[in-house]
Amino acid sequence: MSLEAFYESAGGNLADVRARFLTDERIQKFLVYFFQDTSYDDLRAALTAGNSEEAFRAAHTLKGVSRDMGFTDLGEAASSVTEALRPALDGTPQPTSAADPLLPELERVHLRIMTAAAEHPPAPVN
Amino acid sequence: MGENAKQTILIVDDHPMNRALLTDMLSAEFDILEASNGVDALTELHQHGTGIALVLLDIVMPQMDGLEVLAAMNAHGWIQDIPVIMVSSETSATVVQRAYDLGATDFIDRPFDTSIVWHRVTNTLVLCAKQKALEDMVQRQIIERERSVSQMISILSQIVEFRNGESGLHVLHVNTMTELLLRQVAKKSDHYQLSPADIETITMASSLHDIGKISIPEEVLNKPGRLTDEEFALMKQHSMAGAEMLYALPDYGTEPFLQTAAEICRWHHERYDGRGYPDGLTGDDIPLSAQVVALADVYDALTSQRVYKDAYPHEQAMQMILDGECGAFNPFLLECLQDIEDEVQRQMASPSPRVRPLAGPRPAAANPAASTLTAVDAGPAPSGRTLDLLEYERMKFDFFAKMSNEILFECTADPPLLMMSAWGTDPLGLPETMLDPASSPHLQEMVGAGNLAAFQEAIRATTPDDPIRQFDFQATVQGEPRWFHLAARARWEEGEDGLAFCGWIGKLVDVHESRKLMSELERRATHDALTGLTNHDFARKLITERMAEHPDDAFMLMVADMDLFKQVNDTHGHLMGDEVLKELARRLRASVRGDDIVARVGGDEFLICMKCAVDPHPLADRVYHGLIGEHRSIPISVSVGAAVAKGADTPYDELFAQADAAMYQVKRAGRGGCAFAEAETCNGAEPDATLRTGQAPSLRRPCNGADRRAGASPCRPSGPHAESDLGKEPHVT
Repeated sequence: MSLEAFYESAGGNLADVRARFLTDERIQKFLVYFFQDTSYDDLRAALTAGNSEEAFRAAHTLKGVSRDMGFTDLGEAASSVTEALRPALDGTPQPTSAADPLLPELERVHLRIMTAAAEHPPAPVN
Repeated sequence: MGENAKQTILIVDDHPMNRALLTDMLSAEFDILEASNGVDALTELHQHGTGIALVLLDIVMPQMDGLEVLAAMNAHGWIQDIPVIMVSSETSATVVQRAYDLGATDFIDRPFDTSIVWHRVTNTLVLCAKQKALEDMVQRQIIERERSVSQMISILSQIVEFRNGESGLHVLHVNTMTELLLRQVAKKSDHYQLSPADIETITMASSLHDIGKISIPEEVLNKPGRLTDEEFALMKQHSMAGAEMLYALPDYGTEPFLQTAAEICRWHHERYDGRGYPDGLTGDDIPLSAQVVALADVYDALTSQRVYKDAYPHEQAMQMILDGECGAFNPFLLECLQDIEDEVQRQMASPSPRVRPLAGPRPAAANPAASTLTAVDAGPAPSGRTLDLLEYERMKFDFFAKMSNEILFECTADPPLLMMSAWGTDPLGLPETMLDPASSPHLQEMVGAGNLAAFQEAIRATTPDDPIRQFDFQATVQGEPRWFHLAARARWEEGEDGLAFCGWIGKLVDVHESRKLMSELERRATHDALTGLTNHDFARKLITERMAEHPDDAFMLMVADMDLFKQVNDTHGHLMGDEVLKELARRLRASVRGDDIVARVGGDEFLICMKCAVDPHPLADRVYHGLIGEHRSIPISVSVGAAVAKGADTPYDELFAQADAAMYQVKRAGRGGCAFAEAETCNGAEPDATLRTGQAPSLRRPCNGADRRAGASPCRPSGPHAESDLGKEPHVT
């Protein structure tokens, strides 16, 4: 149950999170929220279903929460997907296939965090 | 706000983790409200208004996004009082720019940083408080300045009036009337290009129209009799003298107020036909300000008492002005005067003339600092006190609305949003806020697509002068039909292209119970409880109406009285008596057509009224035979009297008396049978001599075609209820 071990393994920036969150308790509390967050699954589901608008929103959310928790890589990957799916100025959605080339990287960094969490649980498991 | 009271922050984000994070960072020092989408955010804003000190607003949200929330906050004017900080990982430059354009104060980037969030929020709140304090200060100064200016003007005009020996009301009257006239001019035509600021300026300057009189000797000014030519020439100098006093002021060249006042002083005795003084200007060469004040001056002079004359009543004064007895005026202005005649009369008649409102900056005098302080400059910003008053009004309104059990609505045109008072949504099972209500299946199901469309149609057909519509309609609430009354008022706001429709407000009242009660009470008041037939009063009303509607048609009124009814009661008991009456009522109903009128006159007496053909006898015969017979081995025998009249010919009561008398004739002749009153056939033919004999034997026979001469003439013109008849009653029934 060490934040250091988890963040190192997950490739996250703990120093940054500590500077912003001020206490480890707060970081742990919001890591719980982060792992409960469904936006990654929502994104995959929306892409599979071909729902570009839904996928855009999910990617946008994933980008936000990842960066909040210091998962810079995941935030970057989600950001790329967000931009690929951003609707045109007139509101026309992009085809979901626009995100396809970006998915392997997204999967990779996501898996890394999940694996790290399994190996080094960062917060007490209820 | 007290030192200890926490300010409230509204956090709007669709993601619970983001709201939790921000709440976690801020909840120690602020009260937090959360909304998970734009629609909920607007609901919170509606509910709390400026009770929300600041909004943290996400951009990308389902249903209604952050930019749409900003647009709605602009539409409601909240954006000027409630600062908004965008919180978003949104980095698209166009989106960020758009948010700033819509009035967002600041942007907090993701990832969130506790200390940055806290500082941005507190800084914004402090700045906002400072700005409000400054605005209040400027506002107060403007109000103070306006107050001193108008006090100075009142003092000046009072001096002049005092010297004139006038009541002191003259200036106020001219003021009031100038303003009323100018408003009407602006409303009626844009020819003169009057702005609200112009109206303010001219109205205020009108107080000074007679300042030149200060230079006129008092003997002339207050001479009760007619002025000599010489004195009149002297008097005429007051207009130019007033103007010159103003020309001489150092600020004259730069002050529109002084210029307007000088115009009015100099030219308020010019005439539209060019025969006035001092310059003999014609038509619209005379400035509108002076034309209007001249008219106001004349009207008030006519309707007030002066040393040289009594007061004329309003109508006479108007006539004299319109007839050109008191000068020549612009016909368009006279038209305006006629338009506002009632209002003028009302305002002039009130003993204390309207106090000029002092609050609120006037565009003419506004300090430029005030507008630069307002972030989005949409006119003068309300002061803190005004906001407090608004808050108080809102509280009052909420309370009364809640007490009255009405459901209140507010609907905005753009975005199409319907908001409903919270206590109203519960029984209806509707959400408090609805986006695009017109296409809400829930609402369509409840109100009915037809009602909804009719309502929208009616609201679209409103105009700024005629904004109110009312409806009664049946809605389906929890599967049950219920009656509602909806009153709605369309709202227009000043936009770039004039007044624009911007939504409506309304209230919905559940009138189901009261409607049910009303119709039940109505039924009870008009119907007999035992038989369910209409009562005599109501029947009289129905018959009178129907006869009036069909003056050329013939009507037959039959009065039927059960024979020996008392014996039924005595022998079989009252229950059976009631039973027999009900049976008789049933037979009566069965023997007539749908729209004939059947009523219980009282006791065992009934009446029928029907339109009849040329020969009423077969009809009467059919009815009579429909009534008699037996019920549960109790014989039913009736005595029936009939009378016929054209709708227009005989009043109801007379017709009834005739039929009633005929019925009593039948009774006297031994009961059982039907007879016609004299002189009544459907075509209004001549009275039949044989009817006058009142021969009893013929009465016993049922009437039929062959027997149509049978009848009885009323033997007592005073009618059946004359004393002697009443005395006999126990024997005949």
